[in-house]
Amino acid sequence: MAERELDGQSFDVVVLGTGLEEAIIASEAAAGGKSVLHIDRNPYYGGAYACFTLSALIEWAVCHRDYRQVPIVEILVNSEGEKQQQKLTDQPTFVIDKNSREIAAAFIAESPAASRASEALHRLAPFATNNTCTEKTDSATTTLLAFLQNDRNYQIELAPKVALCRGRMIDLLIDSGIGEYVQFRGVEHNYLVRDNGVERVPESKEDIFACTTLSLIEKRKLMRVITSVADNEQSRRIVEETGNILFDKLLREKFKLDGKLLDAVLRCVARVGMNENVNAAEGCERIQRYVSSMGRYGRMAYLCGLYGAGSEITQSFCRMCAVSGGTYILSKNVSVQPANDNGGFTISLGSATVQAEKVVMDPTYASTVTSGIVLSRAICILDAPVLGDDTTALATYVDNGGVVSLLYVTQATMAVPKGKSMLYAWVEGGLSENKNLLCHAISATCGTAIPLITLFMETHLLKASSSATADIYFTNGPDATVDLDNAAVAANNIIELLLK
Amino acid sequence: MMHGKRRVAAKEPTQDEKEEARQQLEQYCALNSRVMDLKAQSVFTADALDATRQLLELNTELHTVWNYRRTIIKKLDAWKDTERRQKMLEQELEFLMKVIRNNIKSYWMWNHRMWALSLLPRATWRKELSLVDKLIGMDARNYHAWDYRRFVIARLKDTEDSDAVDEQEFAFTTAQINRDCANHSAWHNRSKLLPAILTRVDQQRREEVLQTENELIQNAIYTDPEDQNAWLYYDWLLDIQKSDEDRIRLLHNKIAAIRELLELEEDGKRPLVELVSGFAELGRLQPGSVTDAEKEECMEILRTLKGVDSYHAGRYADMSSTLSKRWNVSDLCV
Repeated sequence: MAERELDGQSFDVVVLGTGLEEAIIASEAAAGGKSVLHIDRNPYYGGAYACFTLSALIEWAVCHRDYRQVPIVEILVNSEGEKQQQKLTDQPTFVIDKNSREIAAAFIAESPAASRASEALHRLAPFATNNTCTEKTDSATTTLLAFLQNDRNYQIELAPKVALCRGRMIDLLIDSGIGEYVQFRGVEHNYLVRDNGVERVPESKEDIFACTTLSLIEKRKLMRVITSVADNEQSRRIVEETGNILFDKLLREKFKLDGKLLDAVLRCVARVGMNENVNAAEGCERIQRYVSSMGRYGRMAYLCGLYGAGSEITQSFCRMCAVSGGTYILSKNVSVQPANDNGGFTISLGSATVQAEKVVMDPTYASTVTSGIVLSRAICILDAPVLGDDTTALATYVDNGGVVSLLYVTQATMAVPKGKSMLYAWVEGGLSENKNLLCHAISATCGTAIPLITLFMETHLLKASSSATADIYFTNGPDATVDLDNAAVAANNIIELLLK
Repeated sequence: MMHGKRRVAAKEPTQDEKEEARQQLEQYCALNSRVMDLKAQSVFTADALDATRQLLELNTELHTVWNYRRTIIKKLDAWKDTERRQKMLEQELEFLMKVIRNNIKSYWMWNHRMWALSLLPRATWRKELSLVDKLIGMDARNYHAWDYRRFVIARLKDTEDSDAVDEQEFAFTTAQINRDCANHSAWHNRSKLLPAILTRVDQQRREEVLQTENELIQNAIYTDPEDQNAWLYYDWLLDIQKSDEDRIRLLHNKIAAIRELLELEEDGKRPLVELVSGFAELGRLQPGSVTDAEKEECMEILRTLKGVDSYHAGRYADMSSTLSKRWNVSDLCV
């Protein structure tokens, strides 16, 4: 919609940012009869949940518009192409950071869209590290440029996540009817990864029975956890008896779990992070959620979205919002001011000004912010499928004093072309402390497959420092969890306040 | 009818549905009396055959009608000619495929299928086996399908290498048990196949096979000690041993395995019962081999079980009184 048409209009709700939570809120508010204006400063939908081709991702990294949360991105290229595996730490690396960004960005501004990313890379080449020999860097540049020419078949998610089959996001998709627009595939297996190998986590009685790598005693221990913790009544009694100690301690002491068995239950099923303190009640609840999710859409507990779950769901909600009368503006910087003492807000978008009764915003649009969660991510494009016949899988790397979440995708979710595969790995914390851990996690999972291109990113989420103003609601960006449920819950809370 | 499927609550029928049901019932009753009349008048024509088809499609449980149908088929002219009989029975099998969808667990339907295939001039047993595979894939615990599978396999063995077929079947039960270790039909079929395999192999291979069986049982017991399938299979394995010495050896193994399991979980009901019956059997086979301490332990176990498992209290009391007399120890259940 042209700006001048908007000038002077009033809206019940103005939503800033088109991330997952904002999209859900905008759609539900419009469905609840509110007039909605939805704005994003970026030219794409999805915010921190967006899904990009590699060239679009490079452009995103170089020309970042959310100036307070610019990511650090490193691109590692196997300079031997598909011929030979090269240690990640030896690979030529293009670094997009404070220093190199400006040089590349200036160039992008004046380049035609089609060649932007590759032009930017040319500019970045002198900043490549590990370039003890220029020949290697040149060959890496050539490899990467060739790849960028044909990167349409690669869909890279900024925040890869899966949906728990009996989770809040799936419920929301069903209730809102959005489920019909989004395609999913079952996440086939759940793996425990250590430096010395990859092992499948047995999830059901049948799995445990047929498993050949567990001893009889281990089988019995695992069955006891599954049957007693997964049972609401029994687990409540256990928590009462043990006085709600840490879940970790409950598994060790009450169920006598240790070693890989403990890691499988604690890290792969309950998904307790390294420095996360989860008590017994919460741990049991997580196991129950997992177990009850199995069998709803097949035997597995999670669903993986095609073309990127977060971004697809986001766009579907935005479409639904537009159908209910919501107005959309992308690529527009905005500023929000309180209108007067009687409440309400004045929102300026360049030449136009609109009034809003309530404002929902992603904290990157807030005037004062503090830093929130820092995440380190790795995205690794592999020359071949790993993990056998699996089309999608979830994995947890537990070794070297860290816990890393991994999501494996293939052509089945339209993430990569046939014959290739992609591995996402992420962990909470800065890249400088966690890069080594992420490298370990990837190497241990991908086995003999060759990582062609690997991206490392450090992303910073922001938190609004004040929520004192009434009628302003702040959403959250994607956290470290593997599923989309926290976003669904947070969005739901704001919707309830909005429609009250 | 199927395992693991949620039952859908019946809704109160609407007026239209009630009316429709009433009409259907009327038609069914009319058809039923027509078929019975035809049978009473000994009519064996193609028309009569068609009437039975219509009726059986509505209700698979009319064994009189199935019998009548068989009589008609055998009295038709087509029966005398091999080619026409082949065609007629093939049509009959197709008809049964339609009926099977209405009620997969109809004894009469399965009986009729066996009859048709037995008299088929050129039967295709492999094709029949793939049908059974499909049925078991749909519901792995459908005992009709398993029973029928044994019938098909028996016929298949007439035309193919019997030993190889047995081996394949044995592997099939392993796969089914791995898919669901509480599948009694699979365990049962395994027990039907094992004796033939054991008689064919030499002593060393026999030991190996029995060792694998033991491991399978232990695996199932550790996965779910309260599931009865593996325990029943244990008892059955004891029965088919060649000598009492073998049996005693197996019992010692069983008792040791249970002891190990009980160390992990001292309150497993089924393992405790099995421990007592293990000692009882051992004492019967080899008098004097059960120590006084073990006997007292058994009586104590039965007393505890009677307290915690009220549904089987009578059973524990009975076991306790029998053993107390046999072993001359005091019965703690009174």
